[in-house]
Amino acid sequence: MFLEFLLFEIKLRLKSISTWCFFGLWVLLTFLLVGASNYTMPPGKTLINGPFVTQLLDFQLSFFGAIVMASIFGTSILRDFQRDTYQIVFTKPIGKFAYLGGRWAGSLVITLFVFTGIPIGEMLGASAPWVDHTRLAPLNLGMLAYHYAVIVAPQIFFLGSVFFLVAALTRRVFVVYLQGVTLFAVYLIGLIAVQQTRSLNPYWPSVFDPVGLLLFRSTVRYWTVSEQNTLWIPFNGMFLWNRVVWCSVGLTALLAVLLLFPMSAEALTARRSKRQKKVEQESTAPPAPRFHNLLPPVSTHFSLATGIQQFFSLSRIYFNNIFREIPFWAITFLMVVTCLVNGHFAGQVNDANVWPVTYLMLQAVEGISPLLLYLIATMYAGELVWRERDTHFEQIHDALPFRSWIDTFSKLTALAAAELFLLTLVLFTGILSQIASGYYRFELGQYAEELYLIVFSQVLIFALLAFFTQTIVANKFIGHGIVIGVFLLSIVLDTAGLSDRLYMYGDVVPYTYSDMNGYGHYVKPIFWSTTYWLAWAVLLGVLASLLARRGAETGLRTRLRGARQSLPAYSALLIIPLLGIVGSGAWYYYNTHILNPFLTDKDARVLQANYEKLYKKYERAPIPKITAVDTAVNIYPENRSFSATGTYTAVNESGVPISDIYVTNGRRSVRAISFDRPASATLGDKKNGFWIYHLTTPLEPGGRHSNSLPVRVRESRLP
Amino acid sequence: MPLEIRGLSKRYPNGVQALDNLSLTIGNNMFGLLGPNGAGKSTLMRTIATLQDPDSGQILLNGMDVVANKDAVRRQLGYLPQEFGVYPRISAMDMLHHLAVMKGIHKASERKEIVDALLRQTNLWDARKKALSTYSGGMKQRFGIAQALLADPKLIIVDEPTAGLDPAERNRFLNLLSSLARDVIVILSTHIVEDVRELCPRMAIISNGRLVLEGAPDEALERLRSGIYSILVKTEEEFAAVSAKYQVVSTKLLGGAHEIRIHSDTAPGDGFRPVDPALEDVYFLTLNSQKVN
Repeated sequence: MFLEFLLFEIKLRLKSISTWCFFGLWVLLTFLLVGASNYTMPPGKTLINGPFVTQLLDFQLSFFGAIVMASIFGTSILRDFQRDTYQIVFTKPIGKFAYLGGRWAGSLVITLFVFTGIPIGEMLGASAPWVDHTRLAPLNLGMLAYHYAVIVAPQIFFLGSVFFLVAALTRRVFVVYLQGVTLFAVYLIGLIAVQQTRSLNPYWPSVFDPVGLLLFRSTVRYWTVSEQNTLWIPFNGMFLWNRVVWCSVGLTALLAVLLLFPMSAEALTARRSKRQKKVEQESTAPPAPRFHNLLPPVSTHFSLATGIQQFFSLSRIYFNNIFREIPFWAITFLMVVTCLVNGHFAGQVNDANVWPVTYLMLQAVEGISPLLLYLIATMYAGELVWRERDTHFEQIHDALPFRSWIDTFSKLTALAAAELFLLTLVLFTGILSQIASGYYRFELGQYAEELYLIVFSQVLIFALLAFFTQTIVANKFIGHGIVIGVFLLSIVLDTAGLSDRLYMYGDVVPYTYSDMNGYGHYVKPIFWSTTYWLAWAVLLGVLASLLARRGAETGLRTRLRGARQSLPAYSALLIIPLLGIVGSGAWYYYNTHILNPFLTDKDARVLQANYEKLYKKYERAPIPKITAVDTAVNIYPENRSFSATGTYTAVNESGVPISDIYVTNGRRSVRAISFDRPASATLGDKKNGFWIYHLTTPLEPGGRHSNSLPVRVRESRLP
Repeated sequence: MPLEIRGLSKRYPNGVQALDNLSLTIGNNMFGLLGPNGAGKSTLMRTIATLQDPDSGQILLNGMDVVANKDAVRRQLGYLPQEFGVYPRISAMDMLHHLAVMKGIHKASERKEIVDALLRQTNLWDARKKALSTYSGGMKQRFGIAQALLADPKLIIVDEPTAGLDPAERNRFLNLLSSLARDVIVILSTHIVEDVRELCPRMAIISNGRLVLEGAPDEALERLRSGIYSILVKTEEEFAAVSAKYQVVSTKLLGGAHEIRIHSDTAPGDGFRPVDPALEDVYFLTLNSQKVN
């Protein structure tokens, strides 16, 4: 019986796409993280596929994987209640241990399988041809297996069992959704709290660290590079006790489930039936026969005004869809709590207590909020797009006389309204925290500018991507996965140095705000990159409207055909964002690729390597020593640039005649150079910024010469 | 204001031919569409309700092409689908108000009047402020017909409306349907023959996507008059004997024994007694003769 449930669970999961998606996601992420390890891993001699990296990946991805664990363990119990099969299952003679145990064990096996994506991705990443081979060690399956067994497996056991317990006892979907998120937020708050204690070796916090990040940091903090490359994480001390503590918690959770889970269908749905009052029996008297219809007359009207009325009515309904949902309020609550906690620490900069001025407060409360805002956008884009079909209301809805774009637009408006509401809450928590610290200069304009203009735009950009994805993809949860995947991928690619802001979706220029300079020179780049991505987002929104599901046939091909027919009506709506994309994209491209060429870290290193290869030979060559500099400088603070003309006077103190003067121009700021005696350029390497001028008459030892150069530096490179 | 269906065909991607060159004309008043499960009734209903397109053929509502003018049709349409769910946490009244706006009822006063009237006529007035998700099956169905009647529709489509309702509910529902104005097209699609018998002056029978009978139930019954006989059998052999000799129309259980109804132009005698033809007999006979063909 137990075996039956176990095998059923495993078979069901293996047939489900989500299992393979999770697995693939882990492989891909780890592959990228390891394969791009030149940029993501500690630099120097740490082995790319050594123990340290394995440990790091195992701990970190187990943390992020909490959501995956919640999903797998939670849904295994929920399935019978979501799909209403519990009445069939629980009226059969099944044993509690077999049912619960089978489901739990099946989930455990599958989760263990999914997480093997981590070591597999690591192996694949290490074998990528472009990886630095001097930092690779031979494949050590034992090492990978050991760390998987002591780091990942206990995490899965403990977290999975707790999630299983919660799902089994509450039997509600949103709890499954929320478990992972709550763990994140609570854990991050805990981390902040521990950091504030500034303790160098937190023993007890490490032992009681449920996720392991603090434990890991404490364990390997003082390891040298050679230790990082050879030591397997020692199964003793802090680490051992941590595993013992949390595995016992897992075991307790399992025992609790076994004892507390009621095996009768009645008890399981007691909550549901309590809510449902028994329906009164309706009267069985024969109805009076009717002869004609007595409905009052109505007049219908279809004009722009009707369209507006429809828009408002729809928006109100969709708004309620979001605002009456418990998960929304739970995430909101989480966000407010983390903002308040962060806000409390906003006035502490590097151990000094400062007034929590608005820009500092904004930095603090913004901390995790964007993540939660993105989470809301992802979740509710899915809920809104699928609303009619999830509630099985689509046949009535789609036959109503409204224009399809009004429906899409109302859904987007509701989503935007929800995000604005959350941003306003962030604003209030900021102000509250400032009041709590006794600081009353709330610069509301600054709050508004930052939150409503800049952050809101970014959230909108992301929300429209989620909306578009959910319109195209046939399954809401695959849609969620894709959106989250894009988000994670952009982070990974960014650290791998593979990102160009023009094609990394939603990548807006990072900036620093200062009270002295405001947004300073970041204004233009922020404006143009935000406009660029907003234009893309609007385009995606229009496409989502064009391809919206309506009617009984919603296959993508059918919708594409229908879209082709509606294209002329949409042409204006499509052309405007396209113009926006081309316009702002062109400005951005011009400034980052042509005016000041965009250099990734990699490019910069290659340049430096070339320079050394070509010109290292001149390192020890004799050069005259500069003894006097005379410059006239013009500073242009608005442009962050200056121009100058300078004269160097140099003396030959080397004791031998010097005939070659070497000029480096790494910042490409020197426009010309003139000497006080005849000289000609024998080498002019513009790319590497190196010139050699040959003096017609060599400079005798003790002789002095001067040269003058106009310099112009314009800091216009975009970050 | 007739609804003309001309040569409608539809084949689903999995190969099922849902509609096969179907042609039909439906005029004002109640029209019954009968057919077994999978005959294509719902496909036809959804096509007329502008929810899907046919592969070929035309539907003309008062001369206007339905497929090409979906919005215009939707403005006159009242549609009650076979199965539908409801939004959670919203009351019947709020939902009806919202749907009234969606159907273009401009003035708030008119909306209030029609919503209140419909709630009373469907006996939902007492429960109007309760959430739709708490409604029983019968109440949900009544809500469904209420929303279909909101904006004085000229074309009303009800798809399997009485399935799952208890007899009293069913009675009330049919009563409501029958009271609708004379100059409205009402298409009642069902596999419950009794509903058509009670309500519809005209009907059509569909099987395997094809039209197999069209006309007035009264005329069809008249044609069968004195052609239906009934006998009770108790054993396998008795049944075998009957079915070998005569055309069996239907077999029913009557208080535990099997009643066999046969169709015969001449009196069969021995044990058979003549009975009045029921619409069910028309239904079964028509479907079975199609199978033979």
